[in-house]
Amino acid sequence: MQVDQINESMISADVLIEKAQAGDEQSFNQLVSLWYKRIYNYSLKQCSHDELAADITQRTFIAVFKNLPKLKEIKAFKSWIYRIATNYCHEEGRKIAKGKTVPFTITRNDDGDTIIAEEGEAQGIFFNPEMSFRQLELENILFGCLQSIPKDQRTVIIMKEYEGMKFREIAEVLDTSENTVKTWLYRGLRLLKVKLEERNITKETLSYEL
Amino acid sequence: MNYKPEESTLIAYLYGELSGEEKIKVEQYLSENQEARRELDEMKEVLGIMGHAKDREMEAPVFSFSSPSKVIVDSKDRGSWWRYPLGIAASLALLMVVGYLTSFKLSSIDGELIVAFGDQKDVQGKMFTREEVKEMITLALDENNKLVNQQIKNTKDNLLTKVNQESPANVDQQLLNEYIQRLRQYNAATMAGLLEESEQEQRRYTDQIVQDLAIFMDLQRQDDLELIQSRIENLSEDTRRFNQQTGQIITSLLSDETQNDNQY
Repeated sequence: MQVDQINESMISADVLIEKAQAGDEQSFNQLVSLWYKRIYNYSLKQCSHDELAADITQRTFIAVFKNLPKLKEIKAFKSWIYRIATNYCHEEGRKIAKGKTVPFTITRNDDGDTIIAEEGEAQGIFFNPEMSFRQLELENILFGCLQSIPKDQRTVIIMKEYEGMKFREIAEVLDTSENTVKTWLYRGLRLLKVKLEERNITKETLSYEL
Repeated sequence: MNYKPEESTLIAYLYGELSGEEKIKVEQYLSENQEARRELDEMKEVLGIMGHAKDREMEAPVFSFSSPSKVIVDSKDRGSWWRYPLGIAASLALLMVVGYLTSFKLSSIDGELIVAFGDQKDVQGKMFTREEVKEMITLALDENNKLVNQQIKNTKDNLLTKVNQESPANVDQQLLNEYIQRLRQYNAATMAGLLEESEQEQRRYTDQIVQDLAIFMDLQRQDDLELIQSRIENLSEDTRRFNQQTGQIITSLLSDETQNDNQY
């Protein structure tokens, strides 16, 4: 629904982008308020880390501000901003893989017992009193599973399922063909299914627990 | 049947993007191939599970940029809960170190608060009684009053002498005369200059008027001449026309006469 709202406001957003390109601070901030939550939630699913996602979002918008005058086609803004955010997410992913930064709260460990122990830890970072514990637990596991699949497949899944993007738009962001995007999505979903099963998350267990 | 759809085609089918012949082909394949059907159902299930994740709220910060190269982000502090206690602890530790280095001492004896850096000095003997303090205040006030009075007097004297020096009685009569003389001369010179200037101005003005009048008279004369000429021309034209008309009348009278002659 939120994605639809953004699409509806795209017409006025074009004007905002134009004004922001011309250096209008107010328009830029309106643009920020229009996109901030989306980019944050996108980054959060990409890296599964609250503070890291907030940091990536902030850096994305600083990059947007600095490079906005260079954006030639206003229509390409959406794919452009997602490309910036995706690059930052993948960059952080590489750093973590090299062990330069703090590891994710949920590791790629497949041992069920370890996961339960880590959930208590995760509560501190993801703490939000509005959200029920079950919901939080499920999201942590879900995002953790997303972490364990290859980055291109993960990116496609998030863009399609959570950002509601068209295959054409995703292909544009990732600079590839629509067919490749669909293939990645197929493989990603199949892998995600396996990972979720390993963590005992199925339709049946969900309907029982939630 | 050897048809096996590609992974991308199956995804397109899952998202309802297929139509026509291709859709029928995939549906047929799935009905024959239980394994592929199950896999697709499982994918739908995964999408259903993913739908349980909700967007988290995030307030957008305000970006302000005074110059293009500098971007300031004003964001609400997302700092961890332990930052404040740690800050307070660090401040206390700093205070303690400073206190130790300056050998700060704070003590209370018989209701007296003594603050000292280093060793405490004995100040017991330097106590004043109420009367002594009163006397000191009176003394200080008296001295101050004297000083102020003296200053007022000095200023008054200065002013008086100044006023006396500059009174008209003391001004030199000769100087005044000279001044008046000079003033008169100056005025006379100015008046003469003005008169001369005015006279010249008048002369110029008169000349101008005479010239203008001459030009005007000339023009007037020319106009009059032209008028007279045109009148004369009109008159001669009228005379010519009159002659013609007279001729015509005479001719018609003559022809009438001859016609009458023929009739009878």
